[in-house]
Amino acid sequence: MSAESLTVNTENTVETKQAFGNTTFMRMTKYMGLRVVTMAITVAIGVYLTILIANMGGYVDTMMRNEIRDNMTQSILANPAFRNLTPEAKAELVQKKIASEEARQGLNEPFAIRSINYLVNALTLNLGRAIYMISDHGSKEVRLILLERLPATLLLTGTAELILFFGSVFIALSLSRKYGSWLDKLTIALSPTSAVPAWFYGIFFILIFAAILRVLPFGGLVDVPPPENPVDYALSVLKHLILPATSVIVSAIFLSIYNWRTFFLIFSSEDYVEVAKAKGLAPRDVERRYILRPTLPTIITSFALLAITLWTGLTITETVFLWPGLGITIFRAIGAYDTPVIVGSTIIYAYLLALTVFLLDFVYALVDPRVKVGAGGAQ
Amino acid sequence: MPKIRSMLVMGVMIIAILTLFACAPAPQAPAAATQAPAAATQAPAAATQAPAAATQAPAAATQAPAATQAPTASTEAKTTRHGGWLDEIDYSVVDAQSAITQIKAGAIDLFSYGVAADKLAEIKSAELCYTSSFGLYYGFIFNPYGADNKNEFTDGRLNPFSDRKIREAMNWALDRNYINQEIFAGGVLPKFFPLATQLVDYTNLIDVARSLEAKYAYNLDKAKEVVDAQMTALGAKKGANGKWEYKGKPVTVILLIRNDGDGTRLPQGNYFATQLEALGFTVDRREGKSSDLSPLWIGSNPAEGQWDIYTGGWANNGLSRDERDIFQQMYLPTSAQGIALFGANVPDPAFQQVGDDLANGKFRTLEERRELMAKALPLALEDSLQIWTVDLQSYAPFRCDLEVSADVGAGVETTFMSPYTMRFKGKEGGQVKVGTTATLFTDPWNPVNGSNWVTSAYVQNATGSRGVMPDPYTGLAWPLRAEKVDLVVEKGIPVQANLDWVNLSFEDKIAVPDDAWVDWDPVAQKFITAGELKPMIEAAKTKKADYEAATAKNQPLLEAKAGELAGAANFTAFNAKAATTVVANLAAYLKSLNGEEVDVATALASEDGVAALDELVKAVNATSPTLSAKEKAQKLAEFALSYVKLADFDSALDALAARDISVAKSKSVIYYPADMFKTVKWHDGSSLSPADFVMAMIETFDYGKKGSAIYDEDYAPNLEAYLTHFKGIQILSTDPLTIATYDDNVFADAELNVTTWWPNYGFGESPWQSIAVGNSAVGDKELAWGSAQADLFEKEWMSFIGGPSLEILSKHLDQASADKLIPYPKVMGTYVTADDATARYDALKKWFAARGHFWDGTGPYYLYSVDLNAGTAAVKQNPDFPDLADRWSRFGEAPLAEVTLDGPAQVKIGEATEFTATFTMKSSGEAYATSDIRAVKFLLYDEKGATVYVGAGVAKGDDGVFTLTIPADVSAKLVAGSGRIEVAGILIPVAIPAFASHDYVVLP
Repeated sequence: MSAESLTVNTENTVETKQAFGNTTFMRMTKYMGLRVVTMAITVAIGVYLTILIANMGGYVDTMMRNEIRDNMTQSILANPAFRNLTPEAKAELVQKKIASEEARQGLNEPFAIRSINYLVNALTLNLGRAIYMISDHGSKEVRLILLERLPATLLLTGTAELILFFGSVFIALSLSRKYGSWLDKLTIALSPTSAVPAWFYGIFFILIFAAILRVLPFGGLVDVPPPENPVDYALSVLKHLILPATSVIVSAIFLSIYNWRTFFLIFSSEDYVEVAKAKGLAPRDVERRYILRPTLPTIITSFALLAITLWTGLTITETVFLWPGLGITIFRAIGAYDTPVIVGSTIIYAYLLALTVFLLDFVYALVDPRVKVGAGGAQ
Repeated sequence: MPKIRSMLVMGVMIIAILTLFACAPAPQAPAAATQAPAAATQAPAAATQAPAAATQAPAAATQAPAATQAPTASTEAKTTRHGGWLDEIDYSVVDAQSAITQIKAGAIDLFSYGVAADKLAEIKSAELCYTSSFGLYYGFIFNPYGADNKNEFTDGRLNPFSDRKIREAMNWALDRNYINQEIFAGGVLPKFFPLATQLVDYTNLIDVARSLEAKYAYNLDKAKEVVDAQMTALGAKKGANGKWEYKGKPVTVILLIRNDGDGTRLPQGNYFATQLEALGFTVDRREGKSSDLSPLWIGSNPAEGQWDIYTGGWANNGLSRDERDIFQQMYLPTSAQGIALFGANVPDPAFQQVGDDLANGKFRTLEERRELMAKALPLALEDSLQIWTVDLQSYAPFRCDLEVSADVGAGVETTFMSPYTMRFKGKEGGQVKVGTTATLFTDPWNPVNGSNWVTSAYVQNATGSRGVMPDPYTGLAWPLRAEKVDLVVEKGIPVQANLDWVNLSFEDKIAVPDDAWVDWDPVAQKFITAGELKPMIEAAKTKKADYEAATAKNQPLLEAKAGELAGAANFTAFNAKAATTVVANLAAYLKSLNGEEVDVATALASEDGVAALDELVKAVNATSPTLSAKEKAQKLAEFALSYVKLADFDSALDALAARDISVAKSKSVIYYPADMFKTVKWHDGSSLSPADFVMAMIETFDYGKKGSAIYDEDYAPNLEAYLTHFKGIQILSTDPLTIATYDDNVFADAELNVTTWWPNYGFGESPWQSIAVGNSAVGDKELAWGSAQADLFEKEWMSFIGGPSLEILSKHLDQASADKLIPYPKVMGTYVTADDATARYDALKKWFAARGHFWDGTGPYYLYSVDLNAGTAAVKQNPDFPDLADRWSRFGEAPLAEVTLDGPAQVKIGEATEFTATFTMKSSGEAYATSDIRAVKFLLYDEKGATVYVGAGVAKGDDGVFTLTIPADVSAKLVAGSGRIEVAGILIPVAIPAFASHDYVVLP
């Protein structure tokens, strides 16, 4: 009996496990499928809205036509090579150049069709060619325009933001344990300094360290002429990185510490933390197991979102320091209504964001046992 | 906690270490990996100029300042240094806002792009030196619609600016000095005319110009008086609030104000709006950037009145010696601008005539031209389709121990000579750091159709040379590689020689010889001679005549048939189908008439076609207004004829038929020195050769010819325009190189009529092998020379200095080398052997391997390195450059003059009075040589600022000293009160005149 029962129980357990496995697998699959579809639709809508906004619903065509007329006319009238042409020959040349430029920019095709082409190309990551913009190396491929600025951007934003993020978190954690100390009070007092943007600090730093002390460069990526030795080149880049990176860090560090410190303080006052302390656990264990662990999902989310924003660049700071990053590139693209470049940068950001959000669901489940993927309302 | 603390400490240490490392003294740039350009050539050489344009009459040009003295070295000890004065010039992108601070801090030595006028005070307080030049010029453009439509827009609103007198009055409403002082900190030039203030044409008309400036000086009361009178005459009334009303509604002026660019159009627009409000107008200020406003002022129909005034800004042409076409261009319906507002203007017929005559060169002497220009100036102010505010000046600041030459019209970066003369004063060698703008590498560099940015060209100029050297101070040209030129011009065309290296003569008729190259066959890849082209022209003319005869016969038949078909249409139930049937039947008739097929089905099914059909049906079926049956039939017939037309005559044949290559208006023969091919070398070490010149000739044509492997349809119109005046080339000798060019495009200054055929392709200098390699890549559609061509191919726009192009070019170079490729062998084969080709390709390969780019030149510096991401470039001295560094030393600084005016504080009516004008060098304070002063004029103004007399100064014994005498009979006519005398000196070595004025009291 017992053997039978055992057998039955074993089978039941196996069946139950299989059933559980099937259920979990089905639930996960369904959840993932739904998430992927939802995100794909969201991305498509977001990108198409970007296309519509970047083109003002097609009105940019009108603006571009008139800009072309103005630019072509002025360039021909100002060109010494054409100065002595007859008025008729000049007018004919102007008209031909306008027609050629309009065709080059695809204005002979309705915007509705072009907008769909932009969308399809974007979703398939066929970033295509820019209308006006050219990469520093002379390429009109959107992919290359974005890629060649990526290293400089990642260097600046990566250095600054990572130092800022980890510095803030660890200093905040430390301060949360010294609530009310002079250091804590100093940080709170300094947090309003983050109301000033990074580029503003940048200008001051340039004045102090470049113009007055003359120990650091005004801007740029590297010395002129660039050192040929890779080590010297790297050191030169680092020298040029100091002021922009410091500007970014200084502009946000105190507020960031303040935020994280407040966040940790909330968790530090939970009952289970008090219980842990009462049990006599070492402060480090309390910190690691009872404060840091439950806050991990938030920290990871912040970090993941930070990581994907790194690649969007820091437009004004890059401009102030003439740092050849993506921020300037995207800003120029918006100003020039260069839709392929705008769409290219948007779609990459959209995909990265979607992927991050998608993965975070699983990461939450890994770091927090209370979370089940696809369970409950999340479905 | 201790861990965290230790991490913090470590982090701080790492940052500190990085800082210390980074702040260490900058590493010395390693020595060049390659040798600088070598040298050793043979044969003679020649040179080019970019295809200019057009036909017709002589271009203007002035009685220009002319310096006949050949360039000589400075008075310092002779140098033995070849190439540039400097060892190295480093260019980098710098923020203009910090440029002055950076020079002070020693980070850069010169900001070559120039800073805005409001920075002048900062430059001076920083005790820096600077050059000044012209930039944009600003003004206001009016919507003139309505002069022939009751001064109303189509919706019945009054357009005050359709009235010329109101537009003219706006000149009095503008205080240009206020704009200069308040918006530009006094750093720009108040502007009244479309001519560049104080440059060549303005200077030649200085008496007329200054008188008009006095007449149109700020006077709001006068503006109000005119506006009141004219508005009342137009039927407007002032309301209780003092605002103008028309038909019971306020007269609202829509002022489009640009808020982008340098930001100065915004305060200018707001200032003008305030003035308009003071005159009783209600102003609707609409701010926006260029792209926001261009759909209105360029794109809208002026009749709709979507705008009234726009804050215009135009590019200055630099140091132009001939601005005769500016009146037509800026005011008249015949303007080449092609913008609707110009067509809506109804100018004074006299102004139309003068403007057109000037633009079309309808004058036989320079004096006639001057008279026309003098007539045009006041007429332009009376028309005032545009009123002008300021000529911007930009200032390029630099360390005062540096010597920098700059085009007085267009600045440092457009000055070809600038790298040739730049040096530390009294020193040889050294390194100059030049800051410039981010346009340095905005577009890829290639010599055929690459970057057009002045910043790129500035670096490129250091690496190149030319046949002639543009004079940055007069706009004339000096021989650089050329030795001399014989210029023959058709009699009756006003041309003057200013410098002694051009021998000018006139002939009744200049025949183009039959063996001259006059065109290019892109399929056969050879030049077409005049003898070969003449029968082709005759054949084209015959075909055109046949076409015209057939058109004359068939067009009436087609129109009659259209009328017949439309008349037979049933208009009681008229719809798109009925209209389509009529069009299709007419198309069938056309086919029966002459065999032409027109695809009307596709045309009518297109988006435009459907819209047009819809509009037609609506118009025909409309009840208000209701059309008569005859009108409906006429509308339908016109619609059908708009789709069914006789085919146009072939445009290529038409252009060919229009050519006349039997005679030319000018012939220039350029002679290069006998040793040129021995002394001039490319930076890759190969010697300049005649093949380089021939390649430049071929590329001028082949690139724009349909059927060519490198054809670029975007460049084709440029070539077509060039062919409207180009008449032929002959290589008279290759040793020494002598080239004759026949052309109808004649400028009034002989020096500007020289075609050098130097291998500068318009966007940079290049040896023939580099062009051949590039052509090979373009022919295979792997790269494109131009932007539009790149988009067509969906390939990269070629860059000789970086990016994906380099790998492709390198591959084609290897292939060309392996094949011993002689490009265009039917022509180039005469000038290049297989061994020559191999040597050239090998040299280019070595150059690429050493420097990592294909940018090759013959200039005083060679391109050492570029960092495209970082935005930096470095050039180094070329010791193999044939000329000594001091060849152009006397152009190191602009020979500007200052004048002081001394004389009595009182002028007695009826008595002669003398004043003394003393001209000195602005740079040194030394006396200005009298022989370098072409003329001294003076003007007397009364207390209202009106000109009462214009006189000429007389040179005294001392250099630069002139006596200005007010004759007794003139002073007898003066009225007691205050008065002013102004003197203007017109200088020969520089186009900028010198002014001074002196106030006096007129006593009875």
